[in-house]
Amino acid sequence: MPQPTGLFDGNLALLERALSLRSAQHRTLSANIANADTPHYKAFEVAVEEALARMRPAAGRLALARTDAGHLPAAAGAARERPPLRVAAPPAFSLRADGNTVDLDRTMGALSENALAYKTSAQLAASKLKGLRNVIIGGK
Amino acid sequence: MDLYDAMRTSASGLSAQRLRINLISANLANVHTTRTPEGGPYRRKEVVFQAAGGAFGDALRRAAAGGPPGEVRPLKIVEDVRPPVLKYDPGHPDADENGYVALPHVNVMEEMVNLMSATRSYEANLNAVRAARDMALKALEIGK
Repeated sequence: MPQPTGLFDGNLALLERALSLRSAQHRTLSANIANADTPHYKAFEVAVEEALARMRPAAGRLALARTDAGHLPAAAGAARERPPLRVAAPPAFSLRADGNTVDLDRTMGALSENALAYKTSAQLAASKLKGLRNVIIGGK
Repeated sequence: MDLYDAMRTSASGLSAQRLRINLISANLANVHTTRTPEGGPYRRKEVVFQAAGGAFGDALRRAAAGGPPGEVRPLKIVEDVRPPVLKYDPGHPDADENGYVALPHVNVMEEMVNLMSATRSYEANLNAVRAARDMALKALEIGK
């Protein structure tokens, strides 16, 4: 997590990461829906919450010390990390004989939830930038 | 960009489900067809789907790139292996010497259930496209 540096503090980086993870999640869920009738297809999902939690500076987690001003901050790479993919839990009861683990209802629910969370993050980022602009133009 | 990829993936799902619906229509239309270019009664057709990148090389490349699974594509169209249904109808021009006509093994109920399932899957893909569009539009509002 980058240290707050005045104008563009850490929240914006968190929102940026959230948007990127949510769009990766949308792509993964869309692939699951497209493959809802593909034999032996295993559903995937992105561990969005876990990846976002890792961006929060956890209590007791040590930051890498920089002994020279020219050193690159170690946390900067977190935002560039690849979206963590994992195999989605298969439905508890399935009457399908084709080995497909896509639960269409659950996926559609997750899709709407993900889209809503994406729009929320976008809205927050927009308001944050709007607030900054307001400060820059002196509230005129 | 992830959202464009998502739309492409959903579009592949739409096209796959449409192919499935077309085959179901063909099965229903040919429920009484006794003559085909290949000879014999019509055989019920069904499509088998495959996740794109199912081949080893594709899967390896995808895993290296860290990308999620990809689009769906029709692998092949298979013909039903169940034998034709024999119906006693001596007046039929295609009846055999015992008066039985070989009719396609098409069960209208089965086709209708398949049709409903395909329609639902089609709608699910359509909703995914809509959600991707809404998300992209919302992202465009950042910085407005």
